[in-house]
Amino acid sequence: MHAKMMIALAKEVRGIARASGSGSSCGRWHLRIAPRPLTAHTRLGGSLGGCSSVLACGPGSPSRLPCNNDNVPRKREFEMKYMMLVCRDPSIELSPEQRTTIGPEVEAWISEMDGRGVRVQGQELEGVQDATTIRVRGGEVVVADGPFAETKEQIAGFDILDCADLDEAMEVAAKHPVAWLGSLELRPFAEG
Amino acid sequence: MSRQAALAIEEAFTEEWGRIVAALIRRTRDWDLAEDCAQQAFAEAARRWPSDGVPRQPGAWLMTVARNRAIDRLRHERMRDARLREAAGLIDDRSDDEDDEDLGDERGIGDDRLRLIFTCCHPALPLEARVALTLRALAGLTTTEIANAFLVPKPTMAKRLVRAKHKIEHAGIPYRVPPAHLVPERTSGVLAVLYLMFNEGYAASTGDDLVRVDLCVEAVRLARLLNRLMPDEPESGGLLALMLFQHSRREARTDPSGDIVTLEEQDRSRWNRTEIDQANTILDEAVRADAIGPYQVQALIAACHANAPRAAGTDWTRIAALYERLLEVTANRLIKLNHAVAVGMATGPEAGLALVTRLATSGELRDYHLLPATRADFLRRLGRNSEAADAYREAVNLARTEAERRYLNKRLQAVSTGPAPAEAGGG
Repeated sequence: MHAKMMIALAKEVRGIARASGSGSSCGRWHLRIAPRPLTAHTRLGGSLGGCSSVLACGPGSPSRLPCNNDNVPRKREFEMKYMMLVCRDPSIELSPEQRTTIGPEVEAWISEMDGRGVRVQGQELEGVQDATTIRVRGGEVVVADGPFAETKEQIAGFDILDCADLDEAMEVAAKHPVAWLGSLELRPFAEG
Repeated sequence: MSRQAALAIEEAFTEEWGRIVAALIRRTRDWDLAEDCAQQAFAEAARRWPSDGVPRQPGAWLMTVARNRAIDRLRHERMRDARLREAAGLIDDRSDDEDDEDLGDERGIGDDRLRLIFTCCHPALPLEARVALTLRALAGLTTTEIANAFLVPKPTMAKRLVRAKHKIEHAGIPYRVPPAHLVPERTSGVLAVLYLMFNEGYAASTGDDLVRVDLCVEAVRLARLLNRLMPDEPESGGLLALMLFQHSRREARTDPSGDIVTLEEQDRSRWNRTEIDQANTILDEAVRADAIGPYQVQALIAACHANAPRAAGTDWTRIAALYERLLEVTANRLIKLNHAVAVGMATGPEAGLALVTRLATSGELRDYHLLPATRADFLRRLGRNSEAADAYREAVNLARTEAERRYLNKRLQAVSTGPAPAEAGGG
């Protein structure tokens, strides 16, 4: 990237940070997602048509699954909220049969967890090939193509869970079909 | 301090520490506060019991002192927090007296230690932290003692404990006995932690001569507690019996110079009969429940050794059969090795050697000194001395403690110089 452009971008980024008043607390502000029931107005996913939670298939054929999040009233309000990062291990290949069954399995998981009021929201993400990573170093914005860390497992989506405790979150995660194809990382929301 | 008061405090410590900490954690959810207040209660006892006399109910006395300390501390913190909130204009209108009320409640104490055990051994905590936390919160060992027991620097152990407590609080690890559907899985997790603790002590006792807390004693004590708290869980009886059988041999396991004495060469009159009798009773009781599990099977194997009056009278056929049973439930590599030893003893060194060789070629236990040591032993008994010597050398290089190396070197020397003697080794 051209140096001038980077400086311009840096100014812009700093301006945004000042305006939102959260320049230094990175990693926190974007996790403060309202724990109240989602309505049609607050749903994520835009034109993708909903909040599928998982990248179920290989990088070439992302499947987007609908969910009934918008219609289900959430009754529960527990203390513990977790961001569940859905990580796909690309080295685990799906059999043709698995390719056809994984979608419905994920859908079943979504409707079960929505029904239980455990799942606040969730979203599948585009693959790492479409990721852009931003860093500000020495006052300059450094833009990189790709994910922030080269790891074997890639974040394919996320779900926000509202659970009684870690035991429930572990049970919910273990039921997720991607538990067989990668891993699920449960990160509690920071307090305060 | 008077001897009587000192003894009473020591006794109270083993009995009451875990109980007090467990109760205070339930009421305050603050692990550090609970430990501090328990500590202060014992310090207070050390000050007052020698002059005032030992109270009639030491446990209740200690609990009251610890609870009062906790209330004082919480009040103090509340006041400070209230001032801070006031300053920030964020006065919270919730009632602050809830916990104080709760602190007066004495019910459910019997279960508190069980809650504490399950929480300390929660699978979301790293294994080494589970062991350390159990020793700290339940057994009352200091951070320094735990650090020494595991041969890690004190700051490392302190950090390990702080992180574990932080995770319990922030990740939402519940403070409770798990619900019924999780109990079997979580119980075997707890048993594994206690057995790991015991094995750590067992291995360390032949290591360097540091003054250390005896982890075996702590593990046995905790296993006794668990067995009392979970009388309907036969595996907790199985684990306790297994530990007691192994522990009963501690005097005979090493000679005066600290060298290892193998099971068959041990002076069986030095085995602790009281513990063996206890273990037999506990195991009989456990197997009567007819829900056999890996710890009961291992205890049954240990019983075969403990109850044989002489090494030659050991029922190796039964032991080999029990190992086969064990392999059906846990395909553990160490059990495969022990199975090979038992088969070798029951049906002859060729059969044992075949099993050990298969294990060696599979690459399992590659870094474990007892694999080549066992192979060496079978080779020696078959008169294949030069192959045996090679295997002993391999074992010496892998051995972890000085005593193990000395023992293996002695064996190596024997096969390198003299004719093959007629006995065999084994744990």
